[in-house]
Amino acid sequence: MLELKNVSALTPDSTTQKSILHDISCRFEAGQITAIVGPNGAGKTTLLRAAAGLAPLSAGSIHLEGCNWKNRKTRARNLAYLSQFQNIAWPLSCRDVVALGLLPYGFRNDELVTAALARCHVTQFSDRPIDTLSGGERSRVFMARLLVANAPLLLLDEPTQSLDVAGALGLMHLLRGAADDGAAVGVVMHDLNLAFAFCDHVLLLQNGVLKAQGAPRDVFTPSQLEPIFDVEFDVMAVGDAQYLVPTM
Amino acid sequence: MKKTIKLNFTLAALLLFIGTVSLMVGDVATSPAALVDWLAGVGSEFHVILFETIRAPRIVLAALTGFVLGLSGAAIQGFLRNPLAEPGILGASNGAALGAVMAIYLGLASTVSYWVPLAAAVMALASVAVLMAVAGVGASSLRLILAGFAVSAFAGAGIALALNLSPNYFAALEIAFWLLGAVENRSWLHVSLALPGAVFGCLLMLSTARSLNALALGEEVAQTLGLNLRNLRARIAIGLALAIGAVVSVTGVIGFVGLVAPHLVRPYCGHMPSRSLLPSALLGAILLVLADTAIRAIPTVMELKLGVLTAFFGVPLLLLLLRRPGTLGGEA
Repeated sequence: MLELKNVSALTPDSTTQKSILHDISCRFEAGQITAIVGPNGAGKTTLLRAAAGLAPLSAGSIHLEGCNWKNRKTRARNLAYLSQFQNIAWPLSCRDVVALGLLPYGFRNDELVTAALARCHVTQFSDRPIDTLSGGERSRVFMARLLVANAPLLLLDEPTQSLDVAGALGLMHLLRGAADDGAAVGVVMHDLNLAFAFCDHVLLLQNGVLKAQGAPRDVFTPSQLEPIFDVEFDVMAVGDAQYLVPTM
Repeated sequence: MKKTIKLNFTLAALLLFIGTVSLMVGDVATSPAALVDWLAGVGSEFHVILFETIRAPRIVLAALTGFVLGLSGAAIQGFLRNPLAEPGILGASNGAALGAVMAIYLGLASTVSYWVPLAAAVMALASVAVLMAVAGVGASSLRLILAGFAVSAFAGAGIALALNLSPNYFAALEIAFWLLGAVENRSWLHVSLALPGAVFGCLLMLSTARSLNALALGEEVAQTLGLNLRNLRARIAIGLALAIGAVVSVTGVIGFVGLVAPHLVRPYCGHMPSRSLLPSALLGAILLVLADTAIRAIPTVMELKLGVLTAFFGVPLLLLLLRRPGTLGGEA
């Protein structure tokens, strides 16, 4: 679906230009959730920003199946992006916030907005100003904004940060649903167990280098993770599921 | 959407009503019958001069200035995502004022009546040219604000220098009075001088409506929604300079309308930046026409300046707004 070929990127500051991503090649496949994991400063957000067309590339190329990724408008119509910092400048109603997801298409469709609000279980907040909601409720409204246009590519930067367990699980179920409907989902995550449980593909980064990629079962092994996170992990099996437990 | 259209129509009708009533207010009392006669084209010569030459231009100019200030305030607040931004933030207002002050200082005001507005308009454009040269077209919002602040402060220093070096008290007083902002003794010539820049600047600002909505989600997300940030910054900076420069050049510096008008209408537009542009402009026009009418109605030895009255009423209004939770926005 979205393919990155030998992508490298530099820091935005021109005076201290430093390479953040080195020669990364990967794919975000339709119908799959791809987790981008790694320690702080590994380049996860930069990789996501590069995939979204926000970080200029110093080398390599990005291709989206069937369209010109370099065209700003085409990109906007094929991508829905959720930033790490989900601030909104004005106390807009939740309905208006969700409708902003339709801006690249140049029309406002109330049916689509209502459906997205219902899909994320926030219909009851439709007319409430966004600043009157709790963090968890607000993140569901932002998810509705992300899903409203049924974009084929969804990219999210740490969407589960500051959410409680129920909130994080609910959000991952929404992403799973979007992927099952055919979207390619790329998501930066710190919770390895959530990634293990919900994702189909994992990109493991360290210092801007793609150290491993593949199915969670193949990447999330103590031998792969320990040198990268500098922490020892135990793998616990509970029923069919596996959990990574860092050694205290 | 329907709510916003209704609000725009209501404000436009109110502006028309207040503007018409305002024609009858002043030192010379006039009856509605005289106004109707003039509108029907059968008024006396005295009333034609009074309405057509003296009162109508200043009312139209007050409305135009208020419209520009209200729209500019809503546009710059939406662009910077900051409810405290005001139209003069990018330096065009002080730039225009410096141009006018220079013309007055050099004694050009008394020779040809349009030297002052012409000098002001040129300086407003020059200030934006300097702003763009210093900050660059693709500058970040923060860089743009700081460069605007520098341009504004430099123009302020120039005004202070002109006052400091003015050859006599009368010249200094003329400069000081001009800076207070007024629409008295303005003719249709002044309206026609301000109109092209104001119209073009307003159109540029109105064209940013959808982009301002996207920007509510932050610069990064807005860009993924298709926003061209460089293009938006250029349209806002040039639009603001043209429109503000055009009106300041004929009226002087009038504060608070651009800051307060967007805050007053925003709760009725669901706080959406695009929906608050036109209502802010119309309310700005209403506020300035009301202020000018009040100036003519208040019996003072020397007519009050418009900028003085807007500041006197604007500050308490702003303080009242601050007491109402959720009115200001920008807290989400």
